[in-house]
Amino acid sequence: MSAMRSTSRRDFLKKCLTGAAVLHTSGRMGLLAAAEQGAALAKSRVVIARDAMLRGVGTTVDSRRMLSLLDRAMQTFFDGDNPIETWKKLFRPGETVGLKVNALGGRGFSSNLQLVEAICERLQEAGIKANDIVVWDRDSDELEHTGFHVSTGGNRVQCFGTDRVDYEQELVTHGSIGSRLSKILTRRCNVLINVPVLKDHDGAGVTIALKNMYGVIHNPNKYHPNGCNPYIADLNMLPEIRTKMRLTICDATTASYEGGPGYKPEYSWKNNALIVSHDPVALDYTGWQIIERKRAEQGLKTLEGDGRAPHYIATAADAQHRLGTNDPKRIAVVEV
Amino acid sequence: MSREFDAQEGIKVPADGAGGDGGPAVRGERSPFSCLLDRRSFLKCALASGAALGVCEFAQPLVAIPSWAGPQKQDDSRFTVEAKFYQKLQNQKIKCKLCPRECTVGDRERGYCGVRENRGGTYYSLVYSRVCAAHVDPLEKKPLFHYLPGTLAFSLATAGCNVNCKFCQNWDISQARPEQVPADYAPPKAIAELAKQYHCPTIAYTYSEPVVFSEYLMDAADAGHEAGVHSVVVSNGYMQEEALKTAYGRWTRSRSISKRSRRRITGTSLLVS
Repeated sequence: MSAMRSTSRRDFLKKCLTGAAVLHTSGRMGLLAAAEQGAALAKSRVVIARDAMLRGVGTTVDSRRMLSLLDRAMQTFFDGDNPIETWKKLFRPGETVGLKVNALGGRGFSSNLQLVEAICERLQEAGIKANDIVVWDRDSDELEHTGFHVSTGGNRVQCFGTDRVDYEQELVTHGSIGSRLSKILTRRCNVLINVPVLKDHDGAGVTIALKNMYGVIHNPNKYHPNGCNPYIADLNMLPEIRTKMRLTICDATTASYEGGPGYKPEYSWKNNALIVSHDPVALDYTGWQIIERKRAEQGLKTLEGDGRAPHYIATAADAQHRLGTNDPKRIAVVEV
Repeated sequence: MSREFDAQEGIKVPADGAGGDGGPAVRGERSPFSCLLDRRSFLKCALASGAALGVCEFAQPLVAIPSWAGPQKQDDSRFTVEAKFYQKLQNQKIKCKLCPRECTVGDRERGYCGVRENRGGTYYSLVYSRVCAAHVDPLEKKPLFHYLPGTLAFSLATAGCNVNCKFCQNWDISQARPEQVPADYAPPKAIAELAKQYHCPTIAYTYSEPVVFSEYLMDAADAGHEAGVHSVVVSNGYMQEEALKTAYGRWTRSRSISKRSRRRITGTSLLVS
């Protein structure tokens, strides 16, 4: 207090002027610009972990190998030695973690059961209580058809669809979007892990991380025109989604390169991989390139040539959205 | 307790004169809500309430499942019929030929209206007999003039719409998927019978968008015709010509949105009618 009183008006004005001059000069010298540029040049990391023997000699994914694959992906992504410590970096005990899976494709082509079990196991080892984990999608019946056991009570991992709790009455809006959000997202979960599937999509081109958020709103049918652009990007801008999303773990164990989003065995392949990233745009871009490579291998036209390139990925990265990067120079893909 | 309204005296108290529940208290008499409370009791109450509130705050379960506020699970199968207007494409895709949007819908996906779903290459309407709103309205509310004036219309709707009007007053049903709103099973013959039962010479298909439940509308109109009940549809008319002729061929009267404002407020670019 006394120090403040000792500052005379002259000193105060001097300090203000000096400060302003320093800020102006540093701006001129590009210090601020350099800092901004540095942040912008930081690469988005995308880890692709593969295990050719994920299914052993059968067709079902082996749970132990899946856990090991998940650990490898997470440890690589976080540069850690201990798998549980990597999860502790992301989640704190007391948080309610939602796993937004994709159950649209039915059994065999939805978020892999063994993957979801592995994530739940590691979350619990990291201190999250079982009933603080919610595995969810739009509809409980769809989850059951996929092989999940719907569970809404007790000290178990919770699993149910928005049909059990309904959507919020209030509309939330951003750009072209006006929707009611699932109460599981708004009221139940503090944080989210996005667990999409790597799939071709007849309208959007591909459906991976960003489009999986269509499962959190009541009216996704309104947002399919024009290759879902700019709807997917606008939807992912909603604060309820953006602030809660911590990580995307894409199930690329079985993927499709044509005929999606429904399951067409003739256009699917056993990719036996997981893709992990903080940046959903970089992950979608990387997934898109994987699908394009498979299409080329199968002698199919590119998605651009087929008139359905996923332009929404570029929109999600543009100056109005900044949800991540789709610039391959700024994406560090690590394959393990 | 019921009250009668008299223009001269305002709210009348029932004849027993006891004031009744909600009736005016006699001056000087202690109100049932008044009580004597000394400072000690007041402080005790305040502290206890504060503590209880605090405990509630800490105990507020983040994990609690929000109470079920949505509609009951409905049996989809009885509301599902194959759509009449669509074309099968390769890879189990379909092209909807009901409205000018011509949605190309992949397997397990729905069209823009949200009430038609592709299941393995066959396109289904999910709103056949799935009535989410039904009222007996004056016909003028539709609004129609010079057509059976002063009569009633048995008005009904299902969920869904093929446009997205900014002014929609029924958005909670028109912009919803069928499973998101409570609905009753009302097959076409039941609608005709209900209309007669409520002395309605007309059935009105209104509130949301009749185009999206065309299959149901056609059968209900036939049932109504057999029972001597007319039909009226309040529609945007955003429909393909063939579907329009097939579905609305037997309609008594129809109204549609003006061409001038459709693009600005509905987001549609073509009106085939």
